[in-house]
Amino acid sequence: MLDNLALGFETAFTISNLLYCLIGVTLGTAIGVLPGVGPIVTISVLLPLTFGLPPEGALIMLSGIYYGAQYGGSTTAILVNLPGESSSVVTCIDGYQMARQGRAGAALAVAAIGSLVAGCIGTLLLAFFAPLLTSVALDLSAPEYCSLMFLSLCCTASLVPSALLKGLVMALTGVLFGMVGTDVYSGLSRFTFGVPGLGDGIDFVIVAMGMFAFSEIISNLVDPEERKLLTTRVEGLMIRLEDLKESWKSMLRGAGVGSLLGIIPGAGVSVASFVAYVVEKKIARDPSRFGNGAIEGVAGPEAANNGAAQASFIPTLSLGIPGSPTMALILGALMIQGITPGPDVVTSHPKLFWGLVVSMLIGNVLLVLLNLPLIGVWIRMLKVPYRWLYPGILVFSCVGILTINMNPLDVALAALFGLVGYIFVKLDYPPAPFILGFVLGPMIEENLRRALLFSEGSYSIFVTRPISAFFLVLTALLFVSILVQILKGGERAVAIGGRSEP
Amino acid sequence: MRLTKDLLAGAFFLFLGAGALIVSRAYPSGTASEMGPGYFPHLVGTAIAIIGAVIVVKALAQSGDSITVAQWGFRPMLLILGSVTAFALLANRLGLIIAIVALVAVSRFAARDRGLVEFVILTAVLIAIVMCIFVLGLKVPFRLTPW
Repeated sequence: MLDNLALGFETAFTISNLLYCLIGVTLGTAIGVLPGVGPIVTISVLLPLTFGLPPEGALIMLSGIYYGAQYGGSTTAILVNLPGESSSVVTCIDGYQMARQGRAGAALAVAAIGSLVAGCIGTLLLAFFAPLLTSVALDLSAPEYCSLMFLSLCCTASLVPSALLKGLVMALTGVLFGMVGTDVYSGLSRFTFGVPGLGDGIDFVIVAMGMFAFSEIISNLVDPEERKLLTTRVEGLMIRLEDLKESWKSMLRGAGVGSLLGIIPGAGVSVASFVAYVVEKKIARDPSRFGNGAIEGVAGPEAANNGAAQASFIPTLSLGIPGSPTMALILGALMIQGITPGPDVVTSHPKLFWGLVVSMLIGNVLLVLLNLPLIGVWIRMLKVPYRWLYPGILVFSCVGILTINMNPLDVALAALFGLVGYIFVKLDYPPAPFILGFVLGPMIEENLRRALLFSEGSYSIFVTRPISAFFLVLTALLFVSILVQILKGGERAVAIGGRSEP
Repeated sequence: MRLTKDLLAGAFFLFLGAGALIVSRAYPSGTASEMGPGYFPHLVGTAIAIIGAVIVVKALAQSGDSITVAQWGFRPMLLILGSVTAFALLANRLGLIIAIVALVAVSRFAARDRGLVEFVILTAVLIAIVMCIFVLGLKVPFRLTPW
């Protein structure tokens, strides 16, 4: 462990990796604050830029964007009553009230410190559990992987429980599109329709840019967001001791809730912050304070979303199974670097894994420094109009796609995916499960093939092997709980926790 | 019968699944123990078609709001996708710089914003950033100008 951490420090403290970390967390904070730009869009747009970076640098930077956005998102929630990211939805409730009572500084400080605490706890869990899970994962074989990926897809699909069918069909459609290209076993071209460029399959970057960046820009232009800034001057950023006394337990509880939910595939950061809010309200002595500027209502959820962001790296890096679309993008970035995701990433690329762990600790400290003393800069950025931003996203996307194969047809294909993605959004079909299905699809087919070869064609192998059966029971429980929820008409949770997941 | 969102989407998935099944008929299915290239596509195609059919049936059984085309935002959609397509058409023919100018010019109509000074500054800044990162930094061999 100590050797590994030493290696991590050695890797993370090189000048270039510190720089990538700083770029990542700064960008993350910026997009958390900027209107209409989220981590999925940003990571998609930056993917082509990481081709030329070493794997450690690429992963450190992209990860920084993800957890950095959890910090920036709270700034908008507190000051403008609009979630900068979907994970900050619940922070609006009490954070904005605190700001209205002139306690914006305390709210911002509690959010940042809560995020720091949870970020460090989440990172330590990652350092501890990922290698542990890896040693377990090495014993898993094809049937277990197959069931686990199935569970992962179903979790993501059920993120909006009332729309389970929609999520499932989108995930399956993603799997279908993932098949386009040459089948590795038979050498047969599938679904290429004679188009020569499709022989190698559809590039993941093209799908991500089209479905997320382009379709999101169109959606944002159709429904522009109104921003009314409450105050341009934030005072009293120095947190008072009594504020800290009131909120430190909430931070720890939030960190716990977040880390736990972050590990579970599909649950994600929004659900984590929502659950943390409910927990705080339940155990509070006077629940009526919630909604009127309760400091616990900011500390708990903000700690939870950052804890979940760090913890979601655990299944991604130790099992090779992404729990959320953002993690699917990170996994895609690793594949671009020539690293096959799976349980051996931690052991065969120790520099990458431990470098990332240490960079997360550095990144979280940098984020507090960025977010508290420099808050004035971000407040000014809150007012950057979207009409300056989206042409920039478009230019970066288009030039980025062009660098992949130097083929303008790729850009046109991305536009097509933008059209498809926008139509899906308009029909209320979530694009997030699609990208997860697209990434997982080929892995599911591969493992299904191996499992059935092993069992001589019998599907019973998935239930007779205990770990595989365990995953399938979890999937069944998930479906049952959703059914119960729908029968009880309990769609309240959906109203707050819903929306697409970063 | 009203054309609701779910009816339209369900029908789309029904056709997508059925279409995948028809196209993948040409791929040998093999047996479960020795999956051919068609085995998995058949499985996934069937599942998509079934869910699509369920969504259609549910949509027919429930009443929902008809789709109103006015809310679809065709203008931004066409302008954004059009600007990207323009970039794709121009990038290799007239070079990257003109393609970027076209991309920004067309896409800016989507926000109904036509300030010329802002456009010039924005385009110049974006071209400068792209030059620094991709051309000078990553040394990507783009065709930059028409000549």
